[in-house]
Amino acid sequence: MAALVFELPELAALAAPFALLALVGLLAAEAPVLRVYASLEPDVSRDQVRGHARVGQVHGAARALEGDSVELTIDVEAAGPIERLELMLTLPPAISVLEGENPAVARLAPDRPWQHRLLLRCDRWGTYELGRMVLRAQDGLGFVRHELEIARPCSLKVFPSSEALQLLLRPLETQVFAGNQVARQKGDGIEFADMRPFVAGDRIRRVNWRASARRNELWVNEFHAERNADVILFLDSFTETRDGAASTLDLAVRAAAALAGRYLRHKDRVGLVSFGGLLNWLTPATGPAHMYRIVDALLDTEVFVNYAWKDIDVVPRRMLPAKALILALTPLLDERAIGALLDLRARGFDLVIVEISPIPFAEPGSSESDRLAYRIWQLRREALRARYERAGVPVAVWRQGQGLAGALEEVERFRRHAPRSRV
Amino acid sequence: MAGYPALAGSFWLAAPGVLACVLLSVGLLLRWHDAVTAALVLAGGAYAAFLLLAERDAIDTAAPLVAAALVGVAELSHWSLERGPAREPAPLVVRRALRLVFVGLGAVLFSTLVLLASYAEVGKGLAVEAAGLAAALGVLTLLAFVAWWRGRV
Repeated sequence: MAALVFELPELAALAAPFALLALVGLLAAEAPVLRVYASLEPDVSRDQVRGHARVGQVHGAARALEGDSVELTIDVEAAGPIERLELMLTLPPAISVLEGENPAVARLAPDRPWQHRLLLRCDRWGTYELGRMVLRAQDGLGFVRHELEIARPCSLKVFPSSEALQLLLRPLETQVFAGNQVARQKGDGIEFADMRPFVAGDRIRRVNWRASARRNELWVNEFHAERNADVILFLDSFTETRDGAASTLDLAVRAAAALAGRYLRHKDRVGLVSFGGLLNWLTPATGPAHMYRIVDALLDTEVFVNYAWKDIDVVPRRMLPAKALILALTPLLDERAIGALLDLRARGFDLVIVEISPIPFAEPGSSESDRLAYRIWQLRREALRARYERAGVPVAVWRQGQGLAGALEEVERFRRHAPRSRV
Repeated sequence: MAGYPALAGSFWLAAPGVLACVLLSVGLLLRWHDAVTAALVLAGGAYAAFLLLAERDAIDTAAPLVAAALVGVAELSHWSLERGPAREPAPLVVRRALRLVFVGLGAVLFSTLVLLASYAEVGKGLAVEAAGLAAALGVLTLLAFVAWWRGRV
């Protein structure tokens, strides 16, 4: 227009390429037709290198352990050519990209589907939905962009990494079913208990011939029965202290998973009570399938902020069978959990507290008053531990980086010497 | 390109050229799209002012090169400001660079054709002026329609 008004053809020459580019760009741009598939596979090659395959598929969901890697494959097919396709996968914070580009870019042709592989590392336990992605297609001249957010859900369950455990706490009381725990009661077993004079009905094979020869009468050996035990893992999820990626709840979940696995292998019945803002429980049972149920329940454990007062009465009675060993995993930070544990002891339960120490997660502070408050807080924690120990409850302190076996050994030592008492 | 009017003799047009360069640099550094657009408009405006106000005997034959340079700067700055993957595959970068070269060459060619068309003896008069105006309006209308239609699709 200006070219015509001012009779300057150079202005028309200046504007013409822009007009032509805009026209061609707008006419040539087409909305892309895409087919997107996503699949999650265990990173078998790495597992083979490590010598064991730990990752697999369960109920349509991939599962892995903390620290493992999984391979997410995204296949994209286009009905027409796409000059530039950007793909960005939205990942949860606990999943990081080990290999591969995110976001990634590619050029698509109708006969050449694009397969994008990402090797993902599972940094923290939990249940995750992967496959949420943003696709951005651009035409040749870059005038029109089509952006699309889609989800091709791939469930991934990341199980907590297991703590190495050689030693297990022996419950004070056992149940009536056969198991691997040496019971206090006498019965069929292999652990020697005592000797007594022979009575009618005793098996000949039980006769202790050496003792009988000395006493000139028949004496028989008695053995401890081997029974199973009920173990309740009591997870305090009222509150947690966190320092970056690690938290007291993470440690508690790892410990719970390790303890559940070990007790279930000993044919014991294991139950779970997640006592916190949200109450969750799993009735005691045994068997390998129950292990998955426990781990699934653990994966759902989160800290829900709740100011309502809760005591042990909110836990169903069948969740706390008589003579059960209650293993509490707690940072001993919330008054409700502290009170509930004392209440359990008062009801005569065999209670053991594994204190997930929050001290490594808390800094003393820079000022003198901060440091003083920190020392007072530590003293109050020691006083609380002493209160439990006076009530006959062993408290083992477990810190990040230390083995859980050491904490359990501390409990065993306490039990050998401390009298049983009730509050 | 920003310095072309000054180099062609209109030294007073150096200021908008320098300002355009500063705006472009700031826009690229701060990833500020509006500054880049303003820099391109300013550079184009400086050239238009040069065409309007400078004393010239003939048509400026460098206009196609200025147009191509403007297109090139616009494309390159847009490429710089694009948010995308940190590392792009080499074939894609090569394809894009080649496309940029072709776009630049095409701009020179098309701009030259437009400039050559202005030499054509088609007579003078109200009818010719009206036809020219109609053509310009038609191009603008077509662009607006296609943009609106694309937006709907």
